[in-house]
Amino acid sequence: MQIEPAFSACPACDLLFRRRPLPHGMAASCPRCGTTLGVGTDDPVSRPLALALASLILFFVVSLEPLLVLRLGDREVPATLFGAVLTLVDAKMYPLAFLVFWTSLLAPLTTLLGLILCLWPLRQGGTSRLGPGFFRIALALLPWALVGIYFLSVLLALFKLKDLAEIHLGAAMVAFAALVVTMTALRGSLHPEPLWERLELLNDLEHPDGLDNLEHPKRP
Amino acid sequence: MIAPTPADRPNPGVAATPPTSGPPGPAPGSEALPPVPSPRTALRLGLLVCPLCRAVLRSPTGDTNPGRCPRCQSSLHPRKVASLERTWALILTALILYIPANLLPIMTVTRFGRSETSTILNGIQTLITMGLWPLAAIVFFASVVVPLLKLSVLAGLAFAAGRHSTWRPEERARLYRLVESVGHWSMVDVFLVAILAAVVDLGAIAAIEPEAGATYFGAVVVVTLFAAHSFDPRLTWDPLGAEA
Repeated sequence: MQIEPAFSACPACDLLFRRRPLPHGMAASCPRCGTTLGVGTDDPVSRPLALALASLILFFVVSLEPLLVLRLGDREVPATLFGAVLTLVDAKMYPLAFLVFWTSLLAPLTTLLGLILCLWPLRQGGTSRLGPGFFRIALALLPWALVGIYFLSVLLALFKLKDLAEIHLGAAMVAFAALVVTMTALRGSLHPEPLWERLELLNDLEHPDGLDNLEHPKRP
Repeated sequence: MIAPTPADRPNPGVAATPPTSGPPGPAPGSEALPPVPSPRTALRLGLLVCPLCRAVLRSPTGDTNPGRCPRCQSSLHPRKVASLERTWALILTALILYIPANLLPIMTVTRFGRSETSTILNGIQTLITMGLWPLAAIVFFASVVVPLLKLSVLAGLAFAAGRHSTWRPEERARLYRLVESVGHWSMVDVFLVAILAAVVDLGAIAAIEPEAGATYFGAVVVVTLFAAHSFDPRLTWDPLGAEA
């Protein structure tokens, strides 16, 4: 199989296009089915990398600090992300425990680490043999990172419990709100196609027979 | 980033220009209009599109076994494998799971020794009686409307694609994008049960235990996500212009 760099196709209706440069910040959509095909960007690396690093730091705070604290007299019950998983394990609901663990902890963490490991070498201008693999994992797991939905659930829980007990937002919730913002921005700033081109270019530089691909200039 | 422009005009300067088929596309200069009479799709021109990195690929030897993408190593197929069969199977699975998900309790609430089980619909009712209308609306939308709407829309799309329908493809494409984007929100109820059970843990005074309904509901959400993923939206467009 050989890549046809002159063409691109709509992923949702297969319409074939001839490619041309898209100015920074402009979006292209398919004239036939309306699917967004891509957004032009001068730098596909720095912004997603910065947002992934910020999200990772926030994610550690969110997963270690309590989300909600229930107070009854002098008793306090904190609930953390991992605590919610353990509660399901204690109730012997293993499939559900895994689903919650997967969508609230494993998928977001792996996505962020995969993106950072893929983008960091690109940012440094170096080569990375494992870059495409990390990027592939990150792209596959990103849809399973349901951080924003979890945040909504915690807020719903707060209201649902207001008649039952004295309930407080935990220390993690400020970081959690920030994490929802950075993850949303990360999804918005991640443009896979130019990144694949960059990764491909680096691989070609390792194997000099691919040097005719240098029409896409490498950034410093 | 390279932006696409409709490949209405074959470019003789590109050595890799695939053989054209069907009548010529719209005249040069009409790029803004969708080239409906003869849609030049990758498949019709003998090209494959990588499902992950979207590279357009050509087999130099005309090999029938496409193998893997040279850029991202994804396995290549002209269309998603057994797309309609898988979509139908997953829709039916989700519908079957939807029954216990709604009939079985998703949690047991214990208050001062008295236990009460609650299903998804009970939970919404409780929110309404507490006067929390907006929250009741969110849970109702995420747990009842989204899964049912998603499954029926997918069934409609799969049915139309199976009959090679050319009826209103733009609307069908829009529906698919909608179904793809709202599916995750049904997880709200699963997370809600998990976090409630974790924080309300005071033994006989107040406790919330997760119940089997939550597992079935989680299964509905996951199976529905896979159903949407297994449907190939290009099947909506493939019959268009095929008669030409």
